[in-house]
Amino acid sequence: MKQQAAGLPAFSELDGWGLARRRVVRALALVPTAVGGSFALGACSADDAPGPDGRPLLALSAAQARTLEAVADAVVPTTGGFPSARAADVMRRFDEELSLVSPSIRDDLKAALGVLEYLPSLYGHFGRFSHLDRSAQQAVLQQMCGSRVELLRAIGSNVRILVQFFYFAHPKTWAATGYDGPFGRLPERMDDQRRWYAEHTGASA
Amino acid sequence: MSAQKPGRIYQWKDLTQAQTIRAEVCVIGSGCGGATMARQLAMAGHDVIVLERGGYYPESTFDQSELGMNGKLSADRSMRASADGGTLLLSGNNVGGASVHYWADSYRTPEDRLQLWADRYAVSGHDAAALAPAWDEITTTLNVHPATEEYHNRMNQLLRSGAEQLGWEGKPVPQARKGCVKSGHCMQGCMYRAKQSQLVTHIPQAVAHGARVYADVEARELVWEGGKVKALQARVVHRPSNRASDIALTIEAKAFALAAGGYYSAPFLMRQEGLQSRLPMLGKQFGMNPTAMVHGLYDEDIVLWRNIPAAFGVEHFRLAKFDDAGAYVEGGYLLMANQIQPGLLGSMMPVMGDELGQWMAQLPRIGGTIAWIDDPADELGELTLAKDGTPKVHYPYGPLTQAILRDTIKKQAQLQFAVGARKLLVAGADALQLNSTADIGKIDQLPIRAGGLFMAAPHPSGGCVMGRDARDSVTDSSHRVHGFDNLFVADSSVFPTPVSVDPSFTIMAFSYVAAEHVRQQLG
Repeated sequence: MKQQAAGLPAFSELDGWGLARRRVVRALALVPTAVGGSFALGACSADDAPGPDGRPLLALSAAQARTLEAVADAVVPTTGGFPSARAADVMRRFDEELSLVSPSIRDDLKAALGVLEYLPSLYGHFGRFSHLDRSAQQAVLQQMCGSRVELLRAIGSNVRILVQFFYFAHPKTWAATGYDGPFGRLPERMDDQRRWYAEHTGASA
Repeated sequence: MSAQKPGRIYQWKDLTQAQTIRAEVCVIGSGCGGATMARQLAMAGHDVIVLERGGYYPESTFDQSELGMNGKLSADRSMRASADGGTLLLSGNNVGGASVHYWADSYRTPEDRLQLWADRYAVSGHDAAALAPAWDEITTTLNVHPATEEYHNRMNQLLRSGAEQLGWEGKPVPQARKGCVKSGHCMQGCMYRAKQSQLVTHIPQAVAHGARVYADVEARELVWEGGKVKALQARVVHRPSNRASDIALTIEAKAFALAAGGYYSAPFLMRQEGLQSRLPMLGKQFGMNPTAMVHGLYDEDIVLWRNIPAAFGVEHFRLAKFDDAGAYVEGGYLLMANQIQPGLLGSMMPVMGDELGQWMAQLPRIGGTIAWIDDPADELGELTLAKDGTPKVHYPYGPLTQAILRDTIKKQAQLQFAVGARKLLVAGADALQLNSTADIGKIDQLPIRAGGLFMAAPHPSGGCVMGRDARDSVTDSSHRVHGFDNLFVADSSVFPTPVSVDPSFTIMAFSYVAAEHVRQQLG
């Protein structure tokens, strides 16, 4: 395995997993077929397919974007006036941020999504993460975060942390939280990088 | 275009062709260490250039957007984690470095820490007497003063009240501020020029004395003969894509000072062919002040996101205490009020779905505390290189570190219940919720492990530690890299251990000392 997940050690660096380690490795053998081989080959470029929102992706593959959206839908609140993850641009922001970080971080997080998509079978679910119902997705995430396997804890926690960061930083969530916005409510001043991403993904800057 | 006029800040748009840039001193990095070094040397009349990998974002580009400013100011957009994936690594990547998003806490190095460095690691010339003149001057330059009453938001008032009730020593935290408007956006960069970061102090002072600053320039390869560095090869970074371009710069200087910060200075030297074997301590003795935080729900509005972050600090537990048999008793951290905007707070909530919504719907009433762990000297970590040459942090979270983390979570719970918290949520994957003081015992069962607690590490140290010779360190007490005449390190990577308080004031004072040694080298 060439890639690692979310700033994580390679499997060979992890000791003492016993059965859990072997089950994870077996499950990962399934991953390449679903993410266009990128996980197994160590490549990091996105495929040409657009994201679930129909716009080009710069960092994620379409499959990884679907997994990320599934995580986001499982994690964010659905009551209390909170917007959906799609309305808060979570997947889109994830792709944007990932397109601007160091290759090692980008590769790790992309690989983490690949692991996450195919991990549910380890927890007794028949189906990929993005195909599970919401309660099953939440259960898988919770099990990962509490896992005795360091790698799985890290994947579950890091993907969730980033999803929640991008979601609650979005202005559309603020009314439901009671946050009164940045001091003075100034409009965002987009920098070169945000404009560059927008130009390359067909969005208006 | 040639970009060599003194007293200017250049960016990628100005650096459109390969060229050779000459100066007396080349400083790599523009944070507290590099900017202070540049200011000292420029004011002494030397021809100085500063290279910064990140962008130049003056206050006119600030907007207080949590995500937008994170992208402008933070290295790898705060998405780099330790090798075990358990700790987010925070550092600056812009002209001014981490000081542009720091909390402005400005502690002088505790004397016990300076003594430890002298006694155990043979650091000389950096005792309190040697550093005092620097601190005295920086206190004026950066307007450092204890936070006054009006800058204590509700959470800081509660922290102070709790400390008083429990008999814990604490006091207002010295702050580098001038005319603060209490926006609460220290971590997004202060657009009011109130926080006295390097961007509004030492950088403009250096430029006013002729220094040239090159933003969007990535230092790559040192060229040396014998013990003398002759040049540095660098590349211009295409700022919009954040990727290095093929525009090469050659820097020729009489002296080079590495100040890329605690996460990046050691990796820079590791990438130089042959240096790791000559300097086996490169990357070693790495600390990072991991943080542990506890969220609290109160009956009153707390509004964590306004006013200054750390007006009051509990110093009672700064040093770990041990019994006569050497067993750990308590302490080993600074305890502060937390202050984070909603994105970061939401990200540190260990619940999901509608339970997450129930917590976040009460955002104004959420308070919290945070502790900076004083990494135990015998359980420090190591920096290595990832495949792309970026830093990879290995941090052991040893038994004493775990005990310290458990103790601070307990103390944070104790304090918050004492001042009226209705329920608490430990920021960690186990989502431990405490409903009263009777629940504090549950913390004894909490697994303390990598990826278990949600932690960030904003204060790296070590990796190029100071000491006697190449067997125990990377630099000597003149900040000079062992085996080199004109290569210096001037940032937190020379600290043999973490400082036990916010390191910025220590970094700046050490740079005063380093600048003096560079001046002597220049003759």
